[in-house]
Amino acid sequence: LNPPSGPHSLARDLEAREFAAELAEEAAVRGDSTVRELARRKGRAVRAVIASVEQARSSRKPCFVNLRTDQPVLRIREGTHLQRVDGGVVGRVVRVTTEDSGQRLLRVELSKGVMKSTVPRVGEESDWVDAVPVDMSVQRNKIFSAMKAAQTPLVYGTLSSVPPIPPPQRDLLAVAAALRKR
Amino acid sequence: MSASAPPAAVSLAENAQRRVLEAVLHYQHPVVVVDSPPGAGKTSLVEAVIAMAVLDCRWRVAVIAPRNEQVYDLVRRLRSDYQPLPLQLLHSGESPPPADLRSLGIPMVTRANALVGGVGVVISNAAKLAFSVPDLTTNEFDLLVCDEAYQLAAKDLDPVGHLARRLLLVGDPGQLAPLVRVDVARFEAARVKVHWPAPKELMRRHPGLPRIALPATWRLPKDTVDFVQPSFYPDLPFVSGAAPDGRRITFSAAGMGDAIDRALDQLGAGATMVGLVLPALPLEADQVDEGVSQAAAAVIQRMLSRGITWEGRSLLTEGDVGYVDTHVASNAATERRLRQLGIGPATKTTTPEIWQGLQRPIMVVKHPLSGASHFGAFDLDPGRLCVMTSRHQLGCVMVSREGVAQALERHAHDCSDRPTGAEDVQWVGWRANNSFWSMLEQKERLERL
Repeated sequence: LNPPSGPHSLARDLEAREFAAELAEEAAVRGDSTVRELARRKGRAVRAVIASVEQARSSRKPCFVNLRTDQPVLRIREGTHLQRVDGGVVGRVVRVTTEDSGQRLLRVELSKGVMKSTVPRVGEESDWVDAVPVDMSVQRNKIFSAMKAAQTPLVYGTLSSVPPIPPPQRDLLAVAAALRKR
Repeated sequence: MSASAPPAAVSLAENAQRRVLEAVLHYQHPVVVVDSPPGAGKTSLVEAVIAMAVLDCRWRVAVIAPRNEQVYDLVRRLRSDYQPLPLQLLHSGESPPPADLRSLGIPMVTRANALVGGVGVVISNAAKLAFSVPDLTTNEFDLLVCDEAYQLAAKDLDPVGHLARRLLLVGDPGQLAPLVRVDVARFEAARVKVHWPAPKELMRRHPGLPRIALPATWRLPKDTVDFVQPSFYPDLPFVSGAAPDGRRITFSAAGMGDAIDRALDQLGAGATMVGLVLPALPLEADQVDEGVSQAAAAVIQRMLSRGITWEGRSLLTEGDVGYVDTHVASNAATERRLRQLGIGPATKTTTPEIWQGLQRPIMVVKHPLSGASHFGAFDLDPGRLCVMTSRHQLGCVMVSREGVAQALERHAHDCSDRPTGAEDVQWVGWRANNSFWSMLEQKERLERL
């Protein structure tokens, strides 16, 4: 059982360990209310009320929910993936706005939980967490296998020269400046 | 680079840019690394290289950056600064680009096999290009440019290394390293350092790589460079390209003479890095220091109410001031205090991770070691303090509890769990913190409340 030593196997190992750490963090924050409370204090979990649901066709995407929270500490930004603590609803934050009252409104585009039976109801209060691990191991393995197959000198060997281009007979900086918009 | 910048700095910077263009477009060496201090015009240089490669050399160029926002910013700048380039954006289907980019008429694809071939630029974040490798061929591109390369781990660059004949890596070696969520001891001990910043690992693998340093910062005034360069960039000498008479602060109203006003008056007198020290207070782990938040908000309110002005330019407003704190919870506390004082959300308050790449005329910083009696790797990370103290164009006020110097002195450095031969980042951080704080004391920049 030799430990990984090549760039591809080390990279794969590091990715696997990071994913495992994400899974453990997700399990802790979803399954342990004390951990979740600590996450809430750091803004990584949020208790919010469903302010509205926008879904043009029942049980179909696109489906947006607006979450309203008065939690002062939030580490949630546009692009953050959120899941309801029961794991039934998952989405991506597309906008964060602050209302005059100081409450924050998170607009979330749902990727899971859009069916009529599962879509969140207006007025429902629930915990949402930002730990949404996505298993990309299949895709990453493909990448690292391709990297190993390519055996690029940059990663595996000694760099060789590229075909030389004659040295410039002009001031490249001046040429670059001339390409700028006036 | 402003017209009134010191001629020596302009000349140094132009020579370095010329060398980069020649190295990328004419050298036989396939990889060029450009090390840049904060605010040295990295992105402008990247733009110039891309424009030359595409419009002059007729190359096919791939451009990557670690984060989507950096990619979008580069697209906007290329569109606004240069003559039209054949540009395509490769993005994840899950993260559609913002509306302003969609309105620019740039072809946007989510699969690499939908890219149009030939001369032009393909811009993507690093992860998306890596996931697209199966759809691309070896040497698909003539040049691969990686912006903010020190924020990218080697494992994220390696998979795309074979996609281009030439590679240009541009980044700031002093700032935050890529985030790795697991213990890296076993990787630190390995033959290949896949978790290291990509340029650092490439230079370790191939020690002869051409490495060009940008020699001048246009953002930081000379006084700040005197703090930042020796503390965080001991191997990267650089000067300030900011014209001294273009970076003056004035106040339309006199202060009341308390510690906050004395700190602000130091800014008005030409100092660009000052500290405000509050009495020591023992804090529990993770306890938010409401006193520091209150003081930081008071500093911001005071400078605005005294009519802080960028001499020769304009009166500074809420949006010209930023606040940076390493912890989200204490950022929120400061934000709350600011609202109570009537200061709106235009004053951005966030963590160093988000501040990377941004700047404001004035920054207020909570010292990362404020109130701490024991320091860990997070607290001592030199990149974090470097980001925090290099965002301002005019002045920076650092707010802290008393006791930073004593705590640094007491710090028992433990390197027992560090693999033999591994770089001791905590020690580097301790030295940087110690150097920075000592300079504040020696130059009498600390005002005590």
